[in-house]
Amino acid sequence: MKNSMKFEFPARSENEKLARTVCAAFVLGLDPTIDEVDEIKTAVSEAVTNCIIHGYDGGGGMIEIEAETDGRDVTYIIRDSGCGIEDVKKAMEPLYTGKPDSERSGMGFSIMEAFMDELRVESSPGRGTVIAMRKRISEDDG
Amino acid sequence: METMLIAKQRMLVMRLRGEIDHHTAGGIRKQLERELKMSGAVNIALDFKEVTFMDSSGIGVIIGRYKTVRALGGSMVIYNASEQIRRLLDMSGIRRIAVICSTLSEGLNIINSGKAIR
Repeated sequence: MKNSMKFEFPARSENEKLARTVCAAFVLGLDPTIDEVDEIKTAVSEAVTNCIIHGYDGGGGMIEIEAETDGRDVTYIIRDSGCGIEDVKKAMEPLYTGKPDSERSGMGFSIMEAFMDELRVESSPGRGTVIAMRKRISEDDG
Repeated sequence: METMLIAKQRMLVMRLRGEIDHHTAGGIRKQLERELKMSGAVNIALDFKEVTFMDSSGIGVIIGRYKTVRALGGSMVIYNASEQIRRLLDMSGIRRIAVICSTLSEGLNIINSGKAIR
């Protein structure tokens, strides 16, 4: 089954729930397990929170999410036009946080990696960040 | 958020509700700190039964409150967490700093036995 969607919203914390709920609803046609839905919601929430806190530094801007399904694969592309990441490798290290004073756990990218099958991060300082995450939804054995 | 104080153990029990993300974390953090201060408790138990979602912002709140109770010489108990939340707790190493269990009485027993993590 092929399907696609695209939506954008202001980078405000109240939209984190909107983003993860829409992304989870998008995949329901593939009959995912509850765990798979939870994993997608958590990974999307991490990506969107990063855009708000780090990309725009709480200052606002727009976040765009594109998603598509191809067979049993679902891909989410989450894009901001914020400040970008200078050192992507460092940002992806477990427990690293660019905001040590804000009670951030530094687990965002580790969670995205653990809960999705593939994670790609493209970023350049001053030009924003694009996160692409793919997950294979298990075959419906019912 | 419902709270209860078990005076004998100087433990504040807080029943968290709904979704814990970056949007809700700030309010939860403030309330937990306020209740801890007002109650005079040194231990904290967080009931996750009615938490339907949590991401790494919740992990940040847990680590922050662990630091508060550790400074008071107390311990932290987390119970009733769903599979999704337990997985996050395990990934983040929270098991090393808090007692993760199924019921409050289980947590109280561990605290009383002196085996709690500080």
